[in-house]
Amino acid sequence: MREITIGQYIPGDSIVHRLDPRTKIIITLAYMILLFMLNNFYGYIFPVGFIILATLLSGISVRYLLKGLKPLIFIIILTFLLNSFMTKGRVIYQLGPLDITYEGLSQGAFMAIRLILLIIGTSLLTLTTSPISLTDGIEVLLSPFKKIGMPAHELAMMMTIALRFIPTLLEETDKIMKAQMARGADFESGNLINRAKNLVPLLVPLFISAFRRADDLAMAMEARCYHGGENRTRMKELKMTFLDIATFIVFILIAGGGIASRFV
Amino acid sequence: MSIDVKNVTHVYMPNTPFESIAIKDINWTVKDGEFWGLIGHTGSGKSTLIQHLNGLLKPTSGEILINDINIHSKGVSLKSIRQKVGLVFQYPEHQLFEETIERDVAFGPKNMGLAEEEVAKRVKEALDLVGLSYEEVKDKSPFELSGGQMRRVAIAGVLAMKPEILILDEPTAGLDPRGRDEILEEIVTLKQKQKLTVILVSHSMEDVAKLVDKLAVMYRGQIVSQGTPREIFQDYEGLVEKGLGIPQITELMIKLKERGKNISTDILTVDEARAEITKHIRRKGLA
Ligand SMILES: Nc1ncnc2c1ncn2[C@@H]1O[C@H](COP(=O)(O)OP(=O)(O)O)[C@@H](O)[C@H]1O
Ligand SMILES: [Mg+2]
Repeated sequence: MREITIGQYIPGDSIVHRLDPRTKIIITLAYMILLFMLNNFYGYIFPVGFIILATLLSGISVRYLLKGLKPLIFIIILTFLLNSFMTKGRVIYQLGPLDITYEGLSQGAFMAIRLILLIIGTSLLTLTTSPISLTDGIEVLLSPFKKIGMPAHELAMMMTIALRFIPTLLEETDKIMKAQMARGADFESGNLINRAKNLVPLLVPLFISAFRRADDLAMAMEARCYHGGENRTRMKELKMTFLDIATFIVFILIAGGGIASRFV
Repeated sequence: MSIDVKNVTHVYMPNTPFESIAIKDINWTVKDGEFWGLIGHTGSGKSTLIQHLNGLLKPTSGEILINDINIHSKGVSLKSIRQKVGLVFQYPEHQLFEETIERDVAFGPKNMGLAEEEVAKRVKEALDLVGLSYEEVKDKSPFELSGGQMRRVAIAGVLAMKPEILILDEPTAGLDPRGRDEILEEIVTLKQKQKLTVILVSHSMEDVAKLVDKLAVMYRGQIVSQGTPREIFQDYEGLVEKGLGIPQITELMIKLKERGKNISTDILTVDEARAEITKHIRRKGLA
């Protein structure tokens, strides 16, 4: 249960850890857009190079980063297969009613590479940015939209709380699951309907405890006079440094290379 | 039924940056009919250790033998192990889920595949054992009860499976002094009535020392000493160092002795202490 690594943060003091969260968020978004702009395999040298550089600088073990792909491997393979079979074009091989086409294969490979790079890139963001600074960054980036009625602070606070409680809920799930297994519950076998039924002894206690926690948290926040974002100041102001500017320059060069590759 | 823990080590989340060794190289034997206290500071690995005893956790290395059979060898049904080794988790009331108390207690026996009548019989027996009246509570929702009563229902849920070994993880956590004493008293009665082998997990010497026959002391993932409470308390300083301490009454006797009074420190209860001190005063009076 606790093997899930998405959204996990690994504390550290690397260059990547020290970057302003806004820098990391903006670059991750730009990197995602870049991934979908590239239209040939050579172009992918640029984002791949970028991600390798960032990983090396972050000090995160490559094995751990790749482990994050494991729960999503099914989706990646499915995407690859769907694209390979569904795209019309020059037929390479016939499998019953299905045609594998040359265009399909390359389209499938594109999508798979995009997905993998996308997942690694976003994991790198969350692995090197604590949930608090991540939501701080989002709040500041969204604050210009307050004028058109976007509740930036409230959104950020909701995200902070959600992120904060993911590990707690996983821990709780693990505990309740074990407690019911000690009473002979079986969460692993049976057909789909039975399995869903067997989840009741897990889900009911889990929801009860989640509501209780929400109640307690609301009370604790109220006791400390929390009343939304107005006039709130920060203990740690976000500050861009030379490091952030250098990072932007490097990324712009890499993205430029990628975009140029479209015209090769 | 006996349990042998042999060189058991457990590592949580191996091969990640969060890898942690929770228990290491544990050797421990629990024989039929014994009453053990497993004592240690929070985080010392008590819960991790006991979850190995019914196969909820698998040792990273080492083995768990029940009646000399390795429970993780082929052909051993973990389900039947879990029936024989009943484990009551910390805050067991958090795992209640059914609409009525009767149905919640029946969850375990039902999973064992017992017939309706047998299940009903066991539910009644189990509720009686924990001091709740079956007729009064059976149709109530478990969530209407007080904390102490909810905990009893949860314990009944495990007892209804008729385990031979009962393990309770901090059964008194979060209860008031009265609720704590009641639960502990019931565990003692239960042990005598059902001839159970019992392992009582706690971080409080005060609670368990006077109840159990044997103590195992855990510190930083290892069992650092085991024996009768009296043997364990001889090393007063060692226990304090491990954040544990000894029952207040034993401590009082040790302090008196340090002040030059010629008395025994081999004392666990207030009654014993009173007898010893009276004896001492008499002796002095005569001299
Ligand atoms: N499911 C888990 N995943 C990772 N680490 C855990 C888990 N459960 C316990 N630990 C860690 O193992 C150590 C021992 O914990 P535990 O067995 O719960 O001790 P105790 O019951 O004596 O308080 C602690 O450091 C705890 O943080
Ligand atoms: Mg514990």
